[in-house]
Amino acid sequence: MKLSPATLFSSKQRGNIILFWLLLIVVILVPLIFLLIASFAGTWPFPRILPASWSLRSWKYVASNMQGIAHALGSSALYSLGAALITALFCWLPAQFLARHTFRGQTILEALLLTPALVPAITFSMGLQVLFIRLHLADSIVGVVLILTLVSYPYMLRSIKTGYLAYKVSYDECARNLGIGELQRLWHVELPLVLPAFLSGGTIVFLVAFSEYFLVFLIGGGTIPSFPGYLVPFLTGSDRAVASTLTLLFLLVPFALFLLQEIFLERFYRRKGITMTGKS
Amino acid sequence: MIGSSTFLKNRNSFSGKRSFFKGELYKLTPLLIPGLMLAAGILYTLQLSLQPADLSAYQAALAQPGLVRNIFFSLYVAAISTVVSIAAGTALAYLVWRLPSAYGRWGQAFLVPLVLPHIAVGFLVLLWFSQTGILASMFERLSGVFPLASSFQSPLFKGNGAGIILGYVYKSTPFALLLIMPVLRRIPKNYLQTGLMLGASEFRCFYKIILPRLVPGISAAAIIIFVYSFGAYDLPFIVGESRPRMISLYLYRLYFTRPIAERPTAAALLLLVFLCGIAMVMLYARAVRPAEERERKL
Repeated sequence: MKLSPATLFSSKQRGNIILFWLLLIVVILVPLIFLLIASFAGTWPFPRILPASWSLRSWKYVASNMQGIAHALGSSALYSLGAALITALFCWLPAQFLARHTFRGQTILEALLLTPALVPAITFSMGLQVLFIRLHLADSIVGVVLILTLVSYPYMLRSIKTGYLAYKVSYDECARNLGIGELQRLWHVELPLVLPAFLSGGTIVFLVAFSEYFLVFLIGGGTIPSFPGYLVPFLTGSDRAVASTLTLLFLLVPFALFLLQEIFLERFYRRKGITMTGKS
Repeated sequence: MIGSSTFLKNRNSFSGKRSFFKGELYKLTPLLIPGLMLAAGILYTLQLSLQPADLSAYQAALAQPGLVRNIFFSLYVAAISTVVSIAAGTALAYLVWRLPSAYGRWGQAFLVPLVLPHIAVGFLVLLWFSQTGILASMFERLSGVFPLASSFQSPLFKGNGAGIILGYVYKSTPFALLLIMPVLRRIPKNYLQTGLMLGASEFRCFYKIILPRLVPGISAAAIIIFVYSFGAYDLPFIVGESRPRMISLYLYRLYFTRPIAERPTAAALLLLVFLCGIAMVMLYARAVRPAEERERKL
């Protein structure tokens, strides 16, 4: 018998494959399916595993309160988008610098730059809230965007830095040697190559901002509608059907975002005539 | 533009490289925006905590009833959440890595909890683990078929932080997977094959060959998960018990529900927790430095 490494390696794979699918089903699929079931539940008396009757009540509730929900969703999307754009703008050059240079104390500096995302946000946001009140930024969407920018920029910085680590300065030199202008170089060489890093950073920042309950509540003071804020009374209340429906709505947002990002990237590259083989 | 002139300088020797570095230092200036914001928040808190111009607020802060208990409770919740999610995340990453690469695509489904907000994860915990939750129902049903010793006891709100831990583990395991997977992918699979061919058991191979190479990824993930679950607000707000209380909820109540004269005490505590957080971030820096240095050498 020929003992190739491949057969040796796949000798125990059957058990692993079963374990893989089992975990995927139990940990990911079943909770999602039960959310769906719960959202269609009519009455669900205690010891029953499935609802006793089915109804569209919670979906009708969502439909009839669409105005409030859309308001909250729209407001959350707006400030999250704002945070993504602003972090992209001010992380661009620092990330480029951190990717291109190595210097003493760089690790410490980069760790310090991560602080706002790691250290409990409550410790510095309480002080900022008072400051924002004095500057008339509290209870305003500008204040909310600013605080979310503060806690989410480290993700953007890391993501863009990773993008620039793969981008060699020699690309710039090559383009300049060929006599291209700075703006043209930025548009035709640099941007297409680092755009995926910006988009993935933007996605993370958007999601972090969109999921945040406490900071929006603290700085927005309840006057800035937010989807998490809309959701909380339902989540802790007794109506599991409506809470499940709203949670499912919450899940739709990131999926829509990933889809949009894929479509946008593909179109962008097709228009520029670049074929990406190893998309990140 | 600055770029082309530095390009010319750059062609020179080492000194050109130095001036390239210095000429680009201005690019770090946008980081002043978050830096100043963070500093402003902390300086205000510092000023508030020194309101009677001595350390009396700090003395009062450390003498707060329940403080020690809540801190230890938060540390315990964070530690258990970290250990469990790191272990699960490492095992899961190893499982996905071990399978043919086509499974890597499906393995991305494990990242779904990452996009769930903490408050939604809290709701899932309530839905499944509360006294009338889905697990309790399943248990009741099963006890009709098998004679089970006792009825289902919900682990939530018992003062042991089980709900918070469950939520953090669900949310942090995919995060650990996300950080460990790239490190794992860089290990050539024939290391494992060689070990197996030489007759070592799979567990021994994992322990002796794979795990040591994962340490940088694991320690970075562990510190991030630990610091975050120690001080975050959203999840304990949904599934946390009120006694003992997670430190974030405790600080919030201390700050907002007490007489305003006690604000300096709350501010002092906020500052102390912030300093602990910074200390942990420095630990993180020490953990990732060897990994980054190794990467640069490659």
